[in-house]
Amino acid sequence: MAEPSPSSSHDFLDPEILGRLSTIPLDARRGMIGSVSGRHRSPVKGSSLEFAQYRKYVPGDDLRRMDWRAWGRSDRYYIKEFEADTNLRLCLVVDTSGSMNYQAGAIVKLDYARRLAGTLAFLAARQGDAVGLYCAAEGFQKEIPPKRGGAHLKVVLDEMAGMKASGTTGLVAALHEAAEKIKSRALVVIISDLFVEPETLNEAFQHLRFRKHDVAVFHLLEEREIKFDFDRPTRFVDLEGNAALVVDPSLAGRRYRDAMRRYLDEVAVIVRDAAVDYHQVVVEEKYDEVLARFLLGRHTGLKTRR
Amino acid sequence: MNFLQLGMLLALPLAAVPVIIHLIHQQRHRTVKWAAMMFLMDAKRMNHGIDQLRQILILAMRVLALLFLIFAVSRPLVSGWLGLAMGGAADTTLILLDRSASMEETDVASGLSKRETAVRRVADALEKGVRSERIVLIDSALLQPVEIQQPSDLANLPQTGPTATRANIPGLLQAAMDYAVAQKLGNAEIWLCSDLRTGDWQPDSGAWESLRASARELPNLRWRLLTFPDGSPDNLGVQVEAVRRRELPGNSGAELLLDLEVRRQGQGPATLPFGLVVNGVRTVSEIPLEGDRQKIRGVSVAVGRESSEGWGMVELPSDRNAMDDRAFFVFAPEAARRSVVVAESEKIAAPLLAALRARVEPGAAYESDFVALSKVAQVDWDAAMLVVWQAALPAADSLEAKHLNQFVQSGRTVLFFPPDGPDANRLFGISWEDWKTAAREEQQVAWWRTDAEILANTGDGKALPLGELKVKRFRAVSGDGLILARSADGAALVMRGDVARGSALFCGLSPDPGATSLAADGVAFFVLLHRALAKGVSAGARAQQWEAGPDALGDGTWERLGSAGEALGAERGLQAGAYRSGERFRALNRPAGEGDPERLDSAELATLLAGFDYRVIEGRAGEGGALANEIWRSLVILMGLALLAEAILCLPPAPDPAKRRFESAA
Repeated sequence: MAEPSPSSSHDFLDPEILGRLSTIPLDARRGMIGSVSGRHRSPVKGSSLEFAQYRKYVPGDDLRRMDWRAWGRSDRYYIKEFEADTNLRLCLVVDTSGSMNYQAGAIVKLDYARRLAGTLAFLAARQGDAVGLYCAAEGFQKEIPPKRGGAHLKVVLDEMAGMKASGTTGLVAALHEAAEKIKSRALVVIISDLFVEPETLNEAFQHLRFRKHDVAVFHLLEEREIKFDFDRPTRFVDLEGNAALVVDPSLAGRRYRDAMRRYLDEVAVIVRDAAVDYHQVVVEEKYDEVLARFLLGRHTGLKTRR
Repeated sequence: MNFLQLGMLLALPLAAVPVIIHLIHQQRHRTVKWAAMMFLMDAKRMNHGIDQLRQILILAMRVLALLFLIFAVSRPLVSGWLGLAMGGAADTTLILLDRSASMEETDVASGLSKRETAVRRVADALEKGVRSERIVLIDSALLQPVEIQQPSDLANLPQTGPTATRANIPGLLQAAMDYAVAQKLGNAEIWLCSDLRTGDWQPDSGAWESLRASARELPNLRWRLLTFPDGSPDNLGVQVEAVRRRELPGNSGAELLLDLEVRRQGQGPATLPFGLVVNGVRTVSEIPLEGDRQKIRGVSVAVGRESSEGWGMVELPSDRNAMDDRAFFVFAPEAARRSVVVAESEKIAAPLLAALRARVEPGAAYESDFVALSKVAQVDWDAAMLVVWQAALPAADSLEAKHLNQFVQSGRTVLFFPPDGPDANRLFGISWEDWKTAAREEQQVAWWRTDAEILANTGDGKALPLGELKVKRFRAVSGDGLILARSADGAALVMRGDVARGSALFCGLSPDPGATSLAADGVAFFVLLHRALAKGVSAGARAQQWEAGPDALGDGTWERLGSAGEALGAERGLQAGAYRSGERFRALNRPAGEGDPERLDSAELATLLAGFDYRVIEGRAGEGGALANEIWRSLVILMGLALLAEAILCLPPAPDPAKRRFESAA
């Protein structure tokens, strides 16, 4: 397979960052069922170099996998099994509802999401994994099933470059739909501001978990959204509609922060219960640092488990 | 409310500036496109009511602060009681001034009496604040409306000077209402200045009912009561109740015997020094005092045998009310106490004549003549001091009726007993009803007035034995007079018709033994006749003790004795003093009831003035506070308070722990 490389139209990809992050493998936290051999553990036994276990011979087993030395020592027939290495199916679910148009300082949330998703897609493709893209607004705006190959990556990156945020959020419905559509185990990476009711979010995560997907979430927030440190009455216009509210921060700020704190606490409980690899991202952070933390976390976690 | 800088009120619309700024500010909010609306809407929903209330309060405080500032700069004047001032300016201001003797109670420090204080304060209020197009004064002594040009003139008017009179407050209010009706006053403010003495206000008077009804019909009249309810705890007052001259045996001359009444409020000295002036010669004596009201009989003053007539004065040490420290008296040889009995028969006249000829006071001559009804023309009306009329009432236009009327007008008394036959005539507004047989003879006189008038209790407080009379038949009295006694079935038995200074007494109990035991039992009969005679004597005598009043010196040219000063015009007769007109002497003193310290309390006042739109301002003699004050200082303080409240409302809330947590997490 040809080595993928970012083109000039994919300016959300930074070759330097790609080069730096490519030294850290993208690992799945659980066994993946891929179509080809890869660098990821599979729940089924295969022919990798890594010994898995012995099991008694049953008629029909491949005699080539018989451990003759064991037969010599014990006069019993054992089959030697090895771990199967397979490829990973990375499904990127990007929230493209209107709220992702929120601009925090110099960067819009959607651009931030684009960089995260693009970099992850590139890294996954680079290590031979399949990459798919799902843009979630009111239902899936775009849906590219995961496939391997540089050509497919280009399609995915082109699609990412053309993503636009609009409409009300349909993230929860989109996640339920993704859970049903992605047949085999996959790494589902959700990049969203998650501004939905926590109860509905919980159901969606549990659905993905039930389908044995490895779920990771980049929860994009902006510092001002958390602290709400406005100093004078302001007219707030909803990005997912045109509703406007005039709010005096001195009067409503405390209650806003209380509501935000309750929401984050609830989300923390939900992701813990659903074993979601949750990353709260303040978009003022550099995205490469966020991704490095994400990749390292998964890699070191995997090694620890092994 | 009035304003010294009225033009500044044009700035009042500026008070709306905070609201306008708020509205503009609302349109100029910074607009932010926001993603986390779900939290914002939650916060807004939870905070909506409090937020709005706070905003409204902040705006209200800002508007109030500006309003107070504008009002302060316009220098408003309000009456002493803020509520008074809210009524707006009046077209006419009527000042009703109580000029009774009790209003002369003086503040020692300032030397101002209640009357002077009232006049000053009202004048000050009119000068500074409560201006109106017309100012009218009605005083209690004359009851005549006088238009005032300038409020400052009030203090110099004779109509606001002191008098020794008693006020008739119902009459004063009626005069004000009559004026309001006559002048068709649309919007008038009436200031009534009084010390609330019960004797002046006459709460038992039947006039109050009609006054209240009139007040309801005149809702545009706003009544302001400037009252002086405080008393003078150490005040002493004296009155001369009677004066008699007695020749002493031998050549030792003569003496005057004075009956005095001394009143004091609160505790005072055990003995009282007092001065006695007789015909300009002053002597000083001392009397022991017990209680707050003491009658002293027969205070003796030696006079020369040749001093058969003259004047005198009792003087108490000076105290807070100089008006009651002096009491004048006059004396002169008494003429015979002549009475005339006009009766249907000599038989009926006999007990009357017997009683009237009995000598009550030593040294006095009592003469009484019977005149048959057919010879009424022979009655010497000028010489008689009492006429007893036991016959049918003369027709109103008859000569007899005219004589009787003039007789009563002169201050003397006519005592009417019921005729035997039918009588349909009416005199002095009173007529006889038909004879009525009593259901039982005993206790037919069920009620009579014991506190005053001709049937009052005796000097030692005992009631007249009217209840013991046996009454077989009687004639009830009907008319507009004052009822003095009632029968068991409620019919009027004794009634007094008022005619100027004199009185016409109608007694429905006949002296005929066939009708009542009035003559036989004697006591009540005797007292009745001699009290009526005494009243006539006091009116017809050369030396008369009168109450000060506008009519007291109206019947001649009177020269004041012992003093060069003489009041002019209508003010004649309002001052206490001794006067002479030819052979006649007259002492004018304050009325007896003026010494009574009893005052109306607020509940009684409210009862009397039910239906009046009135407010009360309590004052004190000598009090300098103006009825109209500038209140800009108070308004500045209020403005400060409004700004302080606004600042408190604008304070940011206490540090938010959730915010700190986010900040530390960040």
